[in-house]
Amino acid sequence: MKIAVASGKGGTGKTTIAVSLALAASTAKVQLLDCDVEAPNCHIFLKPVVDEEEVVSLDVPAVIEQKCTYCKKCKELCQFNAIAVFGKTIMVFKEMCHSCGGCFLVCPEEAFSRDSREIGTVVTGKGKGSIKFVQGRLRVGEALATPLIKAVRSRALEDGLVILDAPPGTSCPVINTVRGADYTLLVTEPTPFGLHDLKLAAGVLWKLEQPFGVILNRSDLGYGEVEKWCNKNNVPVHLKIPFDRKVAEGYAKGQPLVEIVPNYRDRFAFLLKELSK
Amino acid sequence: MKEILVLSGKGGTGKTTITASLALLAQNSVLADCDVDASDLHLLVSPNVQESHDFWSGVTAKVDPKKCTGCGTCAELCRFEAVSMGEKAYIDHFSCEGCTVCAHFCPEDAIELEPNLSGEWYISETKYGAMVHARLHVGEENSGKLVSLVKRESRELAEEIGAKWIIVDGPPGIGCPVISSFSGADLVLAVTEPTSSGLQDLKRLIKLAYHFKTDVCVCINKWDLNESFCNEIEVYLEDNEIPLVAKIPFDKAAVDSLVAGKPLLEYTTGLAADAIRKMWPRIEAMLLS
Amino acid sequence: MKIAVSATGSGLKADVEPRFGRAKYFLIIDMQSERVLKVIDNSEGMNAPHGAGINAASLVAEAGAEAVLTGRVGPKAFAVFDAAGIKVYSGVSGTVKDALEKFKKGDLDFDKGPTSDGHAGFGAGFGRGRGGGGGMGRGRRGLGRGRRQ
Repeated sequence: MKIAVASGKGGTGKTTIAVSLALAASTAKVQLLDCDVEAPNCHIFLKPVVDEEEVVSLDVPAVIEQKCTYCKKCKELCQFNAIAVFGKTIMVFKEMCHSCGGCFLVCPEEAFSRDSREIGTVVTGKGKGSIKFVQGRLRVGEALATPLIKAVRSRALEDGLVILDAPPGTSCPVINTVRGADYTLLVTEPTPFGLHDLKLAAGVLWKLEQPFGVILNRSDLGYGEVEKWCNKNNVPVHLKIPFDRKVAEGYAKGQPLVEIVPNYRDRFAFLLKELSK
Repeated sequence: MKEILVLSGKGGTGKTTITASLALLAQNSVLADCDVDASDLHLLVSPNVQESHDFWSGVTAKVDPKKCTGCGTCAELCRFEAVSMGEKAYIDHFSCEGCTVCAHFCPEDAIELEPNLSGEWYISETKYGAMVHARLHVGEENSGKLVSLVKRESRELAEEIGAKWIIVDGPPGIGCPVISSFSGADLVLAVTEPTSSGLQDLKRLIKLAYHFKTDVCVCINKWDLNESFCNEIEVYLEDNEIPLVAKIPFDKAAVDSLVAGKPLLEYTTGLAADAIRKMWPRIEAMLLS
Repeated sequence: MKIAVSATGSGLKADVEPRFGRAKYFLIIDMQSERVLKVIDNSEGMNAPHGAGINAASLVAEAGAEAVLTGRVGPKAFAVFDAAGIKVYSGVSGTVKDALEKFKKGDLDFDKGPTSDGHAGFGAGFGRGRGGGGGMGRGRRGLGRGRRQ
């Protein structure tokens, strides 16, 4: 079973929830995939022993100058303006390349050879309670997060419980994380920001036609509109976690919620049981 | 005219709350909301939309089932796993990168390229000055381009009305939209919080700012939630000679101001508001020196 | 000598467009006669989702310009000009006619590097290294220490 944890707004407690679910699971096979590759944080709480670090690269073109006739076919096909041709000069901007492979295919002279661009690292290891852990880490300065998320997802277990921690927002990287999950938990907080961004995130799941529910974090902030909205739209609220200074302080030091307040372990285990039905 | 870019790496550190209050402090400014994916600034400054525009970006491939013979060339060539084959080819909108390889090599010329309506952008009036903001449609890529557009329009607007400041609410993370938000920024204000995640993401953000040779200063929000960790961040900043412009204490009023839909500084005069007020002259000095 | 100017319109009275890659027109001008030899319409390229600067610089290079007058040039467009041996004069404003005057008088200096860091500089490394600028250092220290005591 694959459960994605997402949120429209950042900083609502996605990572806290993902880590709690993984730690509360009673199944032997549990895996946590940290797909928030721009700001991966699950490792702070799981403290994994790293088995492997693998660099992920994209195939990009390099020009074989002797073969190029400057016909511009590659430049015309490239939608990303990664190739410039003028006079008897051709330049490839490999950081612009999306690795579609079009230039290799269209070149009549076979004037391209394979080069690569590093986009990030996939780290695998074992965290607390023998949780299998996979994390993507985007190289600073790299713009394309999606191929790295795909690389993280390709390491998902076939069976067992797989938890995916998604990036915030509603754009392409989020879709690539939550897509195909059996269930998605949207973490939000009861503030106008929380409600606004929850509506956006719910829009993504509705568009994908995937089931989802809500977890309300810092649930005692006193703005009732979020729950009202959930009720009105038949979105289940699975769990409410009130603000607790002890939890916030523990979080700051990298302590998982279920270790700071042990009875949350049962509540998350119960939630998992409910979702697996 | 100087441009201040407010960023955080990690979400939820209080970036937007602080941006809204800066808007109130900086007289004669243009606001730009570059968090086009999940923009919230409008909830605090109640913009009155004056102009609304469609945002078109790139193309999406679409199969004409009348022409498609189901040969599978497109599925074979697509690097983005966007094509699934039944009797005919089907292209998934969310996976398509718009590279046009399928259309170019289709032997039946059965694939059309449709311009992609990916969002809207607006020019608005607020109590605190003009504002440029945008909304990316669900699941769209290329928010970087929309960020560039918002920045460009806000710059033009600022030049037109002779504004002194452009205050930009940046996107979270360090990827494509954040990279786009850097162009033209005179100073990055990084908003962090005293947690392991906060510090880690701050470091990645600072690395990015160095990369783009943009000056950066930091404010620690909710600093008193963990004083020892706050200290750790301060030591890091000192070691790297990065100016710390404010330590903002945790203040329940910050949440109440959100509920009230007002910038914190307008809502209350508590400790957090005070710290933000004192931060502004430091930022001003950095920019004008 | 042929030079290129990024412009908001197609004649000499038009303004110099400050953003090179997003310019609507490039005017190719013969410096001897001060006449516009060619108007390159960039309205398609200026809206490109990616790499507008690369595309625009290639167009200008292809037209045989030896120098370009504009506002700001990103690193990738600059790389194209560099490869094509075209000198870049950035920070130019006012009308195209004014810009030509200044150029003729030798009032403009050409650039040794790109004016804006745009979307890239990936290969460029961390040129500036650490640090946020001198003057502020003192102010920051005062604040940091004062509060911690």
